[in-house]
Formats: sequence, C-alpha cells, structure tokens
Amino acid sequence: MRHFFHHISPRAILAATGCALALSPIALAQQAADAPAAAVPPATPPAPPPPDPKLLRQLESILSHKFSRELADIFRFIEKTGAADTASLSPSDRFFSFFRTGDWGKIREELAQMPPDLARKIYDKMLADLTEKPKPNVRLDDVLALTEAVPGEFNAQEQRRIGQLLGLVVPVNESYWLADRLKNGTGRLGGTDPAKRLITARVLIAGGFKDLARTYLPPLNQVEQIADAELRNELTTFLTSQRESEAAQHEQVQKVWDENLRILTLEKTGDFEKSKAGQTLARVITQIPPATLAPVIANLVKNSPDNAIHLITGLGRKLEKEVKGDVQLRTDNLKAQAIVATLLAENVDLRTQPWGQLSQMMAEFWIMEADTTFGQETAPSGYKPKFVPVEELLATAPSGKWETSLQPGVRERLDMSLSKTILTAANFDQAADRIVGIGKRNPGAGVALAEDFLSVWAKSHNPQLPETLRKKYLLPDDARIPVTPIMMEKNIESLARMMTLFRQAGIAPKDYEKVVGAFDLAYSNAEAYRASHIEQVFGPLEKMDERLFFLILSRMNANLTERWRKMDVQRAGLTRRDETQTLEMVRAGYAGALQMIDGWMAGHPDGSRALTLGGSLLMDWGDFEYFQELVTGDARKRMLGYKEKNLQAQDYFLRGTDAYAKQVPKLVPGDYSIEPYLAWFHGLLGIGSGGQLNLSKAMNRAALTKIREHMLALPGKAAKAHLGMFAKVVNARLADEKDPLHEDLKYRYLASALVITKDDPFTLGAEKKVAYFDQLLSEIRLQTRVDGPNTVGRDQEFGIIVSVIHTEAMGRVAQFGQYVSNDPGAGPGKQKKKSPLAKKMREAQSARDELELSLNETLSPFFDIKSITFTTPDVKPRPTAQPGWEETVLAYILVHAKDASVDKIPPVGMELKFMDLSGPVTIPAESAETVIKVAASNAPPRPAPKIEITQTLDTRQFQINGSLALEIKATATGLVPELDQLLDLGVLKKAVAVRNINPHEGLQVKEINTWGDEVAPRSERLWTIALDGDPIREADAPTELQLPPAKSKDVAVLYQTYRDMDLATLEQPSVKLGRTPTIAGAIAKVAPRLAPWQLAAGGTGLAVLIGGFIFALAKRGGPAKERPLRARDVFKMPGEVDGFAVVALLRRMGASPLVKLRDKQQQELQQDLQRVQQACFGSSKGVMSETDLRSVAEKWLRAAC
Amino acid sequence: MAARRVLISLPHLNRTTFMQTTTKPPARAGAQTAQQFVAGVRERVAKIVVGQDVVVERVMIALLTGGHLLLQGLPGLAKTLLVNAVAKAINLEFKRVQFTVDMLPSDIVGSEIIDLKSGDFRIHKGPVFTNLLLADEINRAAPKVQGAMLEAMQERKVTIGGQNLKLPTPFLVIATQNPVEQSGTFELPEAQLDRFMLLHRLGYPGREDEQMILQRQLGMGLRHEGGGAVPRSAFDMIEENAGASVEDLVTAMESVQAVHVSEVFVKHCVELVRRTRESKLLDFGCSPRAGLALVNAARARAVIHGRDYVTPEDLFDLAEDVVVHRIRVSYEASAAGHTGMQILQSILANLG
Repeated sequence: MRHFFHHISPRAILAATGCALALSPIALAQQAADAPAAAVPPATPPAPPPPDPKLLRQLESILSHKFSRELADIFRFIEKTGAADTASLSPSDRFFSFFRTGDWGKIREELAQMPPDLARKIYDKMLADLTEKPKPNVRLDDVLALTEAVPGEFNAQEQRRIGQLLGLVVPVNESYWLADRLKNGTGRLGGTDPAKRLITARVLIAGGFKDLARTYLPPLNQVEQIADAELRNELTTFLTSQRESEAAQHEQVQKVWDENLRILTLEKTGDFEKSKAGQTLARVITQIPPATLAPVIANLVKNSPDNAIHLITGLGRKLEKEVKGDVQLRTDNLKAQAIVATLLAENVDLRTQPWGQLSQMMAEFWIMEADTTFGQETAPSGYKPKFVPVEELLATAPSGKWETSLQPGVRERLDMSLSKTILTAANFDQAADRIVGIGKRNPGAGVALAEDFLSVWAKSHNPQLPETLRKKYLLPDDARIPVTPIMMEKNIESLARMMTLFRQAGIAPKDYEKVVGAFDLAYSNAEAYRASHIEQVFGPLEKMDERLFFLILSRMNANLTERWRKMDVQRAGLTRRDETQTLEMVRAGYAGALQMIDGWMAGHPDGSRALTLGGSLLMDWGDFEYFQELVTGDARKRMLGYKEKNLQAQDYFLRGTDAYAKQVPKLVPGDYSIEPYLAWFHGLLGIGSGGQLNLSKAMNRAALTKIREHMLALPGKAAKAHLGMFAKVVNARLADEKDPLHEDLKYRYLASALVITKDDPFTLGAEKKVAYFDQLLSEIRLQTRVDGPNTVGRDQEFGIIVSVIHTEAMGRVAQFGQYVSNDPGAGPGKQKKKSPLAKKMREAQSARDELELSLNETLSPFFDIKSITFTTPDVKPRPTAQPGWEETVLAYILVHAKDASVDKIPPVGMELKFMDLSGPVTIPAESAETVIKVAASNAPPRPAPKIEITQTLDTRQFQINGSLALEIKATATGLVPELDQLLDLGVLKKAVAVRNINPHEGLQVKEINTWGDEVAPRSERLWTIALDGDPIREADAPTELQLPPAKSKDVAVLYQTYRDMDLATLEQPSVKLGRTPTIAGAIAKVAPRLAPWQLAAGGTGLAVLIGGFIFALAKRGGPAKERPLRARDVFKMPGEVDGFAVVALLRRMGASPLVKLRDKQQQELQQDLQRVQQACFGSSKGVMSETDLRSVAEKWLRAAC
Repeated sequence: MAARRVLISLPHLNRTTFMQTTTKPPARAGAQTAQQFVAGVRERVAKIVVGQDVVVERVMIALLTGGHLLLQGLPGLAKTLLVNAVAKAINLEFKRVQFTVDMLPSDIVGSEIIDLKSGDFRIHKGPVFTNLLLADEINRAAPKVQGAMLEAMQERKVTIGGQNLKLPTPFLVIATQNPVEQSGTFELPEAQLDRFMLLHRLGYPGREDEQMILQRQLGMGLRHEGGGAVPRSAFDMIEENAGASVEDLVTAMESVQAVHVSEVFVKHCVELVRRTRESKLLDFGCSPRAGLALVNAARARAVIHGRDYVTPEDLFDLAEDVVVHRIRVSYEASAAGHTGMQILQSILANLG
C-alpha cells in the first residue's frame, strides 16, 4: 500500500483557527508569556506520493457508508471481519475497523495518509453522522481524541460539530468532567493558549456549556477586537446576551430586594408585613447565586447599615415565627441565615455592636435547631416531630469569621451542638475527636457529650428493627437483625476504641446504665459476655468503678437467667448452637461471672456485695444445672452439679456476711444493709436472683440458724438492728398483696424466717401464721403401715398402706380425695395456674402425680416398688379406735425389700393444701418411721382371707401341634400367694410334662377395699402352664389328665376347658385327651364346620407349623427322639383345588429340601408349573379343569412323598 | 359369587372396567416396548448401582403403577443414588428432600412469600413440584410435615395460600425411613403408611456385590474442577443423557394396564387381605387399598418379567412389601414373639 503525506505546520493551524485574531498587542504578549509550551498537535508524516486510482476508489467508497457506532453495527462488523489482522483488510474495512473499535490514533494516521480533500470529506462525514444521532455511543474521551484527528485545519464548522457532539455526550450538569479535561489542555482545545481557548469557547458554546464557555473568553472589549469577523460576531453575541440576561435577573432581584427591604425599614409596618417581607428576602437570598448577592449585601452594609440591620432582624423574626413550622421552611431559613451571616462577616467586624449581638442570635437559632434534631434523632421511640436533617444542619452551621466572632459561652455551646450533630450523622470518629477536644476545654461538657455519644452509638447499633418496618412487614415486636460473631467483634472493637479515647481524655461516661446498655447492644443477643471483651471496653477490672462492675454483673446475671439459655434466642441469633453447646456457653457465662467476682475480690478484699452476688449466681447456676431444659442428662449427675453449686454458694454467702460484719463498725445505722443475709436466706429458700423459684428446697435449719448467728454476732446494737430490719422485710413481703408468695413457698418462707428472727416483735404476725399452720397439722397425721405382719420375706412382695389420720372436722375441711386425683377441680377453690418460674425437682403436673413422685422418691432407695394403687377420689374415711378421729386411705404400695438390711419404712412426705386469709398455702406433712423386719428365710404368706382360682385347660391347639396350656387365674382379698403355695402341681406333673410356667405380670393389685373390717387390696395373679401334649397325642389310648387341686380347703377352685371353641365347666378336675373320638377335644367337632379348602389350608398350615416347631426344637436341643419330618407330613392335596392352590403347591415342592427330585423331574415340574400358570392365569382360553389340576397335583404328590 | 365379592371389595373398579381389563386382548407390541424400556432403565441403573435388583424392580413397579414407594433401611445402601439414576435414565425431574425434625409443611409444599419489590404475594413452589421426589428419612419429620407430604401424595395436588396447584405428572414419591427404633424419629401412623403402595426393606449387599462396589470405586479416578480435583463418586458416573423418555414410560404404563388378571388370582388376593383382617394375632389387617396395590403391583411385575398375565409368583413375591406395613400385630401376639412377617408367611402358606 502506498502512503500519502500531508504536512500541516502548527503555525498554519494557528492562523486557521483565528490566532491571527486582532487581540490587543499587550494582551497577546501577556498571554503568550503566561502560556506554557502550547500543546502542539503531533507531527504528521511527510506528504505521500500520488495515489493509486484503485486504492483511491476504495478509499472513496468509505464515503458511501454510514459512520455508526451502534452496538448492532459493531457486532455485525466484528462478525464480518472475524479474527483477521487489520493489515489484511481492505482500506475501507480497515478504516471502519478503527472507527468502530475507537482507535482514534489510527484514524488520524489513516486520514493523514489520504489526499487532503478526501480526508476532510471523510472526517466531516464522520462528524455529521455522529451528531445525527441523539446517542452517538461515544464517550467524552472519544470526542476529544476525534478532535485530534482533524486532517488539516480545524475549521469553524468542525469546531461547532465537535461542540455539538460534546453536548450529546456530556450532560450540562456534569460539565465538570469536561472542565477537568480542558483545564490541562488537549492538542486542539483548552489549556492556556489564547488561540486554543477561543476555539474551546466556540466549541463549548456550540455544546451548550455556557458557564464553562465564559471562563475561556476574554472580556467583551477584547473579543470585539478579534479580526475574524465570523468568530467575533459569534462570541460578541454570546457575551452580550449573557450580560443582558444577568442584568435582567439582577434588576429583578434588586427590585424585589429594594421593595421588601423598604417594607422592613418602614416604622409603621406591622409584624405580619415585616415577616412577609423577611420571607421574600430569605427566598431571594437562597435562590440567587452568592456571587450576585455578595455585592448587594456589601453595598447595603456600606451604604445603608440600618437597612442591613432591618434585613437581619426581619430574617430573625421569620426564623422565630417559623421555629415550629414546616421542615423545608426551617431548612431554607437556616440557609438564608448562614448566607447572610457569612456575607456580613466579610463586610463588617462581627465583634462590634450591633453586629455582634445579631451574630450571636443567629448562632443561637442554629443551636436550637441542632438540639431539636439531636433530641429527636436519639429519642428511643414514639412520636417524633419533624426536624431539620443533619446534613442540612451541618451545611448551615456557623463557621469561619462568623464562628470566631462568637462569644466564648456561645462558642462552647455551638461546639457541643455541632458535636452532637456530627454524632447524629453517625460519624463516630469525627464526633469522638471533637468530643475529646471539647473535653479538654471543659471536662463536664466532654463527659456529657461522651454519654450522648453512647446513646447515639447504641441506637445506631441496636439490632431491633424499627417499629415502622415491623408494621410494614407484619413482623413480631421482637424482630431483630442477627448480630453475627464478626459484627459483634467489630462492634466491640468500635465501642472499645471510643471508650479508650474517652477514658484517656478523662471524660469517660458516668452514666453506667448507658455504657452497659451500649455494650449489651454491641453483643449478640445469644452470646454470653466474655471477660476479655468486658476488659477491652471498660478497662481492667481492678480499676473499674464499683457501680459499673456490679451493673455489668447484674446484667450478666439477668441475661444468664432469662436470655442466653433459651434455644429460641439462640435460633433467632443464628448461632447454630445445639442444646449441648448452648448449655456449655451458659456454663461458661456463669464461670466467667464468678471469675470476675474472684478477680474483683483480689483488689477489694472487703467486698461483701461481690461475694453475696457470687452466692446468688451459684444458686442460680445450681438450679440451672438441675432444671435446665437444654440437655436432659442423667438425673444423678444433674443432682451432683446442683448440690456442688449449692455448697459453693453457701461458702460465698458465708464469706459475704463475714466481710460485711467487718465493715459494720465503720457504718452508721442508716447505712446498715441486710442484703448479705437476705440473699443467703433467699438462696436457701430457692428464690433465684431473677425471681425464679425452686420449690424443691426443704428447710435447711442449720444454715438458717447460721444466718441468725451471724447477725447476732454483729457488734453492739447492730445485731438487734439487723434482726429488726430483716423481720421488717419479711413482714413486708408477707403483706405484699400485689405479688403474694407462691402457695408452695409460703409456709416454708414463714417458718424459715422465724428460725432467723425467733422472737423479734416485727415477726409476730408471721409467728401467729405459722402457729395456725402448725395447729392445722396437729389435726392431721400422715401414716404408713404394713398390710399384714411387719415381718416380711426376703423376696416377698408386701403392701404398704398410706393413709391420713385426721379429726372428723379436718376430714370435712381437707377433702383428701384431691390428693388421689389428677383432676385440678378436685381441690379447694379454683386451681391457680403455676408461675412459669416456679419449678420443682419433681416435675409433677397434679396432686396425685405429685404424691406418687414423693412416694417413689422416698421409698425407692429401700424397696423395689411394684405398683402404687390409689383409692378413688370419693374415698370415705374409716373410723379409728380413737374417738373423733378417722383414717382416709390414700394409696396401697406393693413392694419388696431391696435387701435384708431394710429395717424401716422411711418417713413419707406430702404437701397438704389449705386456704388462709392470704390465699392458698401448702404445708408439708411427714409420716413417722415404721419399723419392719426382713426375714432371711421365706416368711409365711401375706394375709389373703378369700382366694378364688379358675383353672382353664386350653385344648384348642392340641390336635394341631400337641400344645396344651393350663391357665390359672387367682384373685384374692389380700395378696395372692405364690402358685406352689396355692396348688398341688405334683398331681398334674404325674400325667404330663410341664414345659414352662409363665407367671405373666405377677401379682397385680386391682383396687383397694377400704370399706370392710380391714383395709385390703383386691389382687390378682395369672399363670400359664405350658404342657407337653405330644405323648398324649401320640399315645394309642386316651390319657386322663388330672388338674391340680388347691392346697387349702378354703380356696375355691373352678375347672374349665374348651368344647367346640366354647368354655365349659368341668365337674371333675380331670380331662381325657387322646385319639378316641369320644375324647373331650375340640378338633373333631370343629372339623365339619370348615370348608374343604379351609381344611386343606389348615392341613398345609399345620404342616408348616409342625415343620417350624420341629426346627425350633432342633435348634434348642429338643427331644432327640423326635421323628424326622417327611415330605408327606408337609405336602397334602389342597382342600380347594384351583390354579392358585396347585401352583402354590408345586412351587413349594420345587423349593423344599424335603422333596428329592431328579433333574429331569425338576424340569418336568417347572414345565407343569408353567403350563398350569399359563392355563389358569394367562389370557388364552385353554383353562384347565379341576380334574386336570387335581391330576397334576396328585402326580407330584406321589413323586414327592 | 366370588366374582361378585371381588367387585364389592374393590370399590374403585366398577364392573365394566373390570370386565374390560379381563377381556382385553394382550397388547404384545406394547408389552415388548415396555420390556425394552424396563430393561433399558435396569441396564443403566446397573452401571451405577451394584446389586439391589429387587429394589430397582420395586422402583420400576412404583413408576409403572403410579404408586409411591417407601424404602426402609439403614443409611449408605445407595438409596439416593439408585433413585437419582432411575430419574436420569427416564429424563424425569428429580428432587431430594432431607427430612428433619424442624421442618415445616411449607418447606415441602411451598408457601406464599411477599415480593419486596411489588409488595404482592407470590407463590414459591416447594420441592414437591417434581416428577420423582426422594423423601429422605421421612420419619425424621414431625407428624404434621409427614401429613402434608402424604396428603400431596394422595391428592396429587397441594394448596398454597388458598390456591390449588396440581403436581406434575408423573408424580412419584420414593421415601426412605430409618428403622423406627433409631432415636429422633417419628413413626409413620398406619393410616399414612397405607398410602405407600409398597414398603421395601433393604438389606446389605452380598459379599460379591460389596466387593464389586469397592472395585468400581477404585477405577473412578478424579474429577477436576477449577484448579482442584475431588475423587469421583458413583454420582459422577450417572449418564446425563436420558436413555428413555416420559413417553416411553407412559407406553409402559399402558402395557401394565393391559396385563391379564385372572379371576382366581383376584380371589386369592381378596382372600389374603381378608385373612389379615380375621387373624386373631393382628389388631387390624389390610385395607382394600392393599388389595388394589397387590393387583396393580403384580401387573407391573408381570410386565417387568415379560408376561402379559399375573401369576401366584407375583403375589408371593410382592406380598411382604404390600402387606406387612399395613397390618399391626396385637400386643399379645407380639409378646408371644410373633412378627408381622411370620404371620403373613403363615397366611400365605395356608392360602394355596
């Protein structure tokens, strides 16, 4: 390819673009001197030789194409050219390739190598085509690069086109991009070269960038001297029109300004008019550019200071009037105020009067708005009136000379408000720096601001969803975003950084509630606090303020009790912890809290409060270990954990009271506290620090006495004073009607408190109540006694009767039926729903369950409890030997002693429910010990005065499998003795071998008879004796089977057997069994009732069962003389002969090891099987008749047997 | 009289349809196509899963009859792999749901969710909207979830936000369950078990099969992904391109409908079902659904074995899978050591 060269010198370009414009010589000289080395267009290659006509035609063809950079065209072109090298493309394709890929440097090179006329034509067409489209798909840098590709001079038309193209590419409001590029200059535009600046101005005017164009133009008088008439006229017209427009605007503003200012200065004008005038002026101030307003204000202040004062006071009136108005109005007011104050500060000394006064007032307005915004933004919830947005506040805040002119007091307040405003914008780092700065000047203000800081920080880190969102998406009230571990670490890190900053500046927040609240929010709801985080945020434990330390611990305690252990909290926190992991976390939480206490104690050896809190924590932990619902592990291990923690807690309480006792001599009576004693007392009663109740705790008299002793050991009058205070608290608790004591706790609370206070006059009421309860108990006595003699056999089962001995009157009042019923309505009054916090070791649901659990817990260490039988709820009391006293039987417990060492029935407890004037109350009652003796040898049977026995011989399976079963059912009033004590089995064993005796469930107590002479159970026993009937069945003659007689003549015996599947009573205790048709058996009479096929089926089934039985016998090493099973025992002609029965028979025969067939026979069997299947089950009509089927079956039965 | 009893016992078959079924000439061409289809699927599955021929047969029976299948067995017996392979072989959409105790019905059937952009509710369809759903460890889910699942199986439609939505056709559930004595499981109630056409108990593979499994694994090599690699599993060996289509399946299903069921076979099916009800060792026996399942499954098995008629062999082979999960052994019988399987065997022994 041949090249064209076209040389254009820089000078020529300058001449062409109007550098020869007749600017004033001075200006030109000046501009030339100012101009750095002008960016000269890159040197173009030397002139090319004459063109090849063919090549020329190809290049000219470019003009016949559209220059488009639409995506579709680009894709089409890429498809057309493919991956071919551009060098291999035709000149026109190559040119378009560069155009479409935006390689403007290559475009410039290509154009430079073309004949100049053609190059310009192509370039102009390119510009024309691009400007034709509203979206030419070129970028700013593309246009600027395209400008550099101009072949030859950059003429006026091209300059306008380029301008238009820029107008299409760059929005006017984003002209800063363009300004930025032009500032440094390109080859053709921008920079400092006067000629290029003029061209740039023309380009910009054509693109609609009027403001930017003005920056590239000299003053009008210089423009008017440009030699190029076309350019001169164009630029002059532009500048004149601009000036006219500004003048008109200025005139308009001036008119409005003057009119309203006049209104403000008129003495007789009312406030309404002045305010209106102020409003108009404020609007003018905010709407016109500061550059326009500045000379007006300057002029006003200089020439008419009174009017300037009127302007500011008018504006002030407006601000005051609209202080509760619309937010936009108030925002505009602040803007106007800021503009005026800033301009004023430029023109007068604001420290002089009256300007100083006005400046202060304007600042006060801003402070007022800022405080409103801060107050509303940090308000926890509820209705929030509208407030000026933070960003607007920051934009209108006093600054510069206005700020420095303010008096120190106002400046300080401004500082505070400004800090709060910055804080509200959640710019914590900037706010913290300011706060530290203020804190250095005024520590008090610094602390206050630091506390505000925490409020805002906590609010912005609160994971709780705002109410508006919750309502919008119908989310629950507690909907919150989960705080992930990473978020949590970041939060802690951020809070710790700020707190460290404040601590170092000596302005650490004093409002510890806020501090701990912020810390809690930083944490995930489901994570236990870690000591490292606490130290990170609050500093080392030993330096921590006492109040802060206890606040953190209290929060931890509350969270441990109510929050962290809950699985729904864990799920909501997306921790993915399972129950075991949650359990471990809670344990770690308790351990961490106790470590903190121990750490604290190292620096505060006299800290009784910490020890007391430690005791309470340990009590809670103990309850958690036992009652926690997270992992239901071994109850014994849980109990061990519970006891261990309780013991540790006692130690802490003890040390706490000792430490307190050491402080008492230094205290005045008004500072006395019973907290260490009360916490210990509550711990002993099972009242948790979070109000949860453990109702399982019995009275610990020793510990209670210890509390009393510690109080009494206090020096001087302090002992009595503390006892009195304690008694008062107990009395107050009893008198609390709003939150009455739990009914199960009431008696224990009173009785325990009395152990401590004893005869203190303040506890007289409690004493009376306890006396009343004790009086109640004196008419009731829980009793356990052995049913029958107190000497029992080593393995003998015997009964324990649990009853209540009571006065007749108490029997009527107490309604003992309620204790043997799970019906909540059985008790006195309406059952109160139990507090969810109240828990018992025995998790019983109702009265009877509770009594049952109590009996089980008490007796199971000594006895194996077989059953507990309760009387019915309508149980009637029985008279006793003591006049006026009765016995109400509650339960009959069937037990046997665990070993011979058992010598007593331990005291059994139950909770009796009464009503007193303050509501229901539960009083624990306990039985006395009952002495028993466990005999080493077998003891005589338990008393059973009336025994009835029914013997049933089951012969129904006898003919099928030789099975004979004798079922013996015995019932008694009292306990049914053992089988060998009841019957003489020897008689039976003479006739038939006994395979086994199944005692079934053993002794069963069905009910308690409480109405006879004696309390006695109705009991029942069932035995099944499996007999070996085979010898009888195989014997040639019938055998007489003698059923066992009773050993005692007082026992009534009924003998039964089956006849035709029906039970029949035997007149004699014997049955004849065997092959004689007259033998009393069922099968002979049953057989005619069966259908033939059923009989056959039964036969087959029997065969299978026999096979199974033999197999089973063989497996367990049964009789060695058993006859081996043969095929003829198993395979019989089906009762009902059809295709199915025959197929089934042949199939079984084919698979049975009993059938020995040769291979050929096997094949034949399979063929017959197929034939029968095909005939009987296939869809063809060749059905086999019953005779055919029977003959097939017979054939194979013969072959097999 | 026997025929009359059949008609009464099978309420879903009216006399006309019954007669049509029994008199319709066998569609041999269709049967051959069905047999090819079954053989093709079995061949493909056999490339992936070693052994388990019976399970594959049960899956095919369920597919061909539109019934649902419950597989009971311990983990690791290639249940998921098998079902996956079958689904891929027929080009069925396949989804797997692992049932857990905290699952909600909406996790299965879908739910209405609010579109944050438009503010409207739109329906999010659950995994039940598929052709072949593997409900893994169904007895781990709470009863209400099982209920929702089984309702979808029965109705073949679900209701979401008051809108009834039909499930795709074919729709087949293959559920697996651990033996119920394992902890953390909820036993499926009998009424719900009844909805499964078959319950098959999987055993461990035989020695040779197990050896083959290990040998196959040895030759699988690595699967390269990104810059790394993971050992290939049997799942990677499943061919992506389906060997058969849903149309082939429908053709095979049609040939199942053409299988001849003799009157004597039906009579014995009914007899079997009735005997389970009359047995003193059982608290309750089979529902009529069991009889239907037995006949349908027998027809499918006949097709699989290349027959156009059912034989007693089908009944004996399928009885355990159809019957045992539909009966409950009485407490006394259970205490005496009887099992459902033994009682069924006893009934079957007496049946012929």
